[in-house]
Amino acid sequence: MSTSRLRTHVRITWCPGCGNFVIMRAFTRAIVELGLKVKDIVVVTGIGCHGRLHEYLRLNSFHTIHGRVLPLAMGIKLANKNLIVVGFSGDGDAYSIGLSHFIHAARRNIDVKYIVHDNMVFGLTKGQASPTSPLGLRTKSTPKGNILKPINPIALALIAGATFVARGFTGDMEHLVNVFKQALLHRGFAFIDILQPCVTFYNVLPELKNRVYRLEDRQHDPSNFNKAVDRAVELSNQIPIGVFYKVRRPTFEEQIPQLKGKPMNLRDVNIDKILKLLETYA
Amino acid sequence: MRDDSNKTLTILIGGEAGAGILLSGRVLARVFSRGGLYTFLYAEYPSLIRGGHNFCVLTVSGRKVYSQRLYVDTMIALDETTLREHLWRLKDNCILLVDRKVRSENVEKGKIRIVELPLDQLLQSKKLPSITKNMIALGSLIATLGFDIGIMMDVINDVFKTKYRSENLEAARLGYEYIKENFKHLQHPTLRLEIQKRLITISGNEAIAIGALLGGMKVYTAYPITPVSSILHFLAANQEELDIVVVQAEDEIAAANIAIGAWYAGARAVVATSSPGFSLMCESIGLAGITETPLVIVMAQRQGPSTGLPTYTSQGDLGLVLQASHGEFPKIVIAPGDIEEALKLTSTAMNLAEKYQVPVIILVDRYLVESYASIDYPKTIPSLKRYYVVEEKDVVFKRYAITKTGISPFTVPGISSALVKVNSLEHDEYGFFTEKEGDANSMIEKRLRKSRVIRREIERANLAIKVFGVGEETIVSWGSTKGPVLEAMNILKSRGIKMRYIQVILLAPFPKEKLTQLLKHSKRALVIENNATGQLANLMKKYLDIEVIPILKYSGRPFYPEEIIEKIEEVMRR
Repeated sequence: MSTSRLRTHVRITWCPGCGNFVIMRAFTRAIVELGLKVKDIVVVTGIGCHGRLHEYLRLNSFHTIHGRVLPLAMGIKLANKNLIVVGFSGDGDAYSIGLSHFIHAARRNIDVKYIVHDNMVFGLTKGQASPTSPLGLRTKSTPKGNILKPINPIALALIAGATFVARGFTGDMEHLVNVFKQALLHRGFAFIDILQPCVTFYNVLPELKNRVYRLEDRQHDPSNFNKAVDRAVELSNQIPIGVFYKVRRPTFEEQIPQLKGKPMNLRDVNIDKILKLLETYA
Repeated sequence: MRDDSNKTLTILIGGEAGAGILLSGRVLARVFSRGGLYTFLYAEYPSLIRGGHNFCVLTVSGRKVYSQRLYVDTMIALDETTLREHLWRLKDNCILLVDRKVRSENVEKGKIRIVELPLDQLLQSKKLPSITKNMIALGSLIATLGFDIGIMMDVINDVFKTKYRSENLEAARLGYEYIKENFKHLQHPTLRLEIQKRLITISGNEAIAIGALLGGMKVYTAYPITPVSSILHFLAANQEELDIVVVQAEDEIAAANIAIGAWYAGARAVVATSSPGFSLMCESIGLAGITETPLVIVMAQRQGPSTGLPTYTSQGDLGLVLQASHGEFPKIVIAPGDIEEALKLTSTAMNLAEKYQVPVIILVDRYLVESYASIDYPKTIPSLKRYYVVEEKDVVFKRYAITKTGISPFTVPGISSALVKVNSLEHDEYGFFTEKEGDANSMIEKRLRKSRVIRREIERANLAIKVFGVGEETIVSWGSTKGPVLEAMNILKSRGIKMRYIQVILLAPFPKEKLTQLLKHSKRALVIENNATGQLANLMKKYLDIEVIPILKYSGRPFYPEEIIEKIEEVMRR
């Protein structure tokens, strides 16, 4: 199968040079290279420029409302645990309006992949500060410069209990494909924050290119939680990309005995058991 | 005042919060119910863990009981507040069982037969823990009714699985024997037990949970909130046995979205909440609306606005629910009027949601969900229908196909090669975003067309409106006010006054033609609602050309049938 089979007829309306092109291409490449069954994949997208992925990907998809990608993805997974459920969000979607869902999904370790297009600015609403905007950034909502300390999504995911935490960068396609593949193979909540430019409102591609380095080039051990936290909070001009942390912990679904066996959506109702329960109310 | 009290028995139990008042009511309800008598149990409690005053009112009869009564035949007073607040409710010649510690010298002795219970001494005599006090009182009560203690022992055995079982059994017997020995003369007009009937005693919340299960619920998700948390507790405790998944979500928004995700992937899901949580769920209702994903929300109203009176009832959110979420799209709002109806309609709601692919809201309230009633053990189980199709071709499924009824074929991802794309943005027949004027119009119209079909089919199934009795005056109400209205009619009937009662069950799509037809020859309608602005009355004024007289109560307490009669008589005197 070629990646073009995963594209719909819909014309792409992202700005030329947008990091979303790279993310979409890397994601479809990961699917093809892993040989995943198309019918088993469901993509959930939120609100923001990334949300249009729903239109362009020839996959099952649910384009939902702002900030609610994760609870929706969780519902899909509970209904049919055989589906590969991949949520896409932006930095506004994930870290502003949907932040509490992010923390709780990580705690639950539900087997959902969560990919955040982090361009550090609100794009679709035409350029306001986002939770990951750096200090001092001038945007339409921060004309004198952002005075809020940005969120550290990697550190947050680690502390919240995510079992797969990674950072990707749209300036390094091959690396991103590899991170996607690892995330798709991970069992449990897999989180990838992807640094990308917003070519219209905050074009940081050249700057980021100078600052990022690959974790795997520095002998980082992704099984070591403390080292992962150190890397996530390290104070330097450099930005690590790659897998910070990866651990196998029972997923939410694995800990619910009644989810063993057939997916929930195909199961019958056991009327006798319900009636028997009613008898105890005599 | 003439009434039908020879056919009913009403018991009030009051005491401090934490004294097991509500549990006593439930034990007693089950005792009567096992004896083949119908019961209705209403309880009131403040929003705190300990302290304060709790009370419950149990009405019992050989026929179905729809609500608690205001006036009381027997009272158990375990604290002074019970006497202070409820003494006026005692009928002449009734029995008052009162803890000897409670100062009762102000009680008029002529009219009331006072039985002082030396609860502390009785406890000490058998070294029983003080938490069994309520069971001594219940045992005493059973003796005053001339009933055998046997059924009560059985119920206690079932209710207290391990903890304090033997102590409670002993306490109940102690109270029973105390009356037998010391108050031989007490003759209470009593009801006869009819053991041959098979009844169960359940709360509105339990009825809803069971209805949802019978309707094929596979996922239940909720955020804790009064007064529906007991649905969560009940289902969480039994989830393995019942083969369902129960999720306590991080908030109501997550709960609603988990449910939508589950329905999209083909598992029936239910979420229950109360007024403040429902406010948060409004955006999800719109999502279900535009994506045409089935969704079932149980909404038990409590008194607002905002945090309001968290443990008290209300029907103040009809307007909110009808307009829930921005935009125009069809939804189904059904309001069961009693516990039995709550069970049946919740199960029906699951089929309606999937068939029409719309959000369904089961609109109840704190009064209905936290009251208990004896209902007949269900003989027939509504059949479960699935409405999704399986498309085998490797295509993007035409999920929003334009049809005459507005209902498009529904399928779920993963069960075939067909891809299912759904969209919160306006979309074409395949789920792809469109902003074209023609596309937008046809999709909006397609969705709205469903309302007509839904209304017609629900009316045909006799689930939209129910009519009780005949008479010149017509009462109209919705939801839990049905109970007190039916009981008021029972009392009025015993006085030779007949009335007609129209219960509106389907509130959206509103059955305006049917209601117009029913009221064609009426000059006016008395509309009874547990709110301050007469929300159904206002809807009726909009649609109907008759005089609408709202009769309202908005203190957070439900109507008592006696109050309804008073209000009706007031209107009739005008």
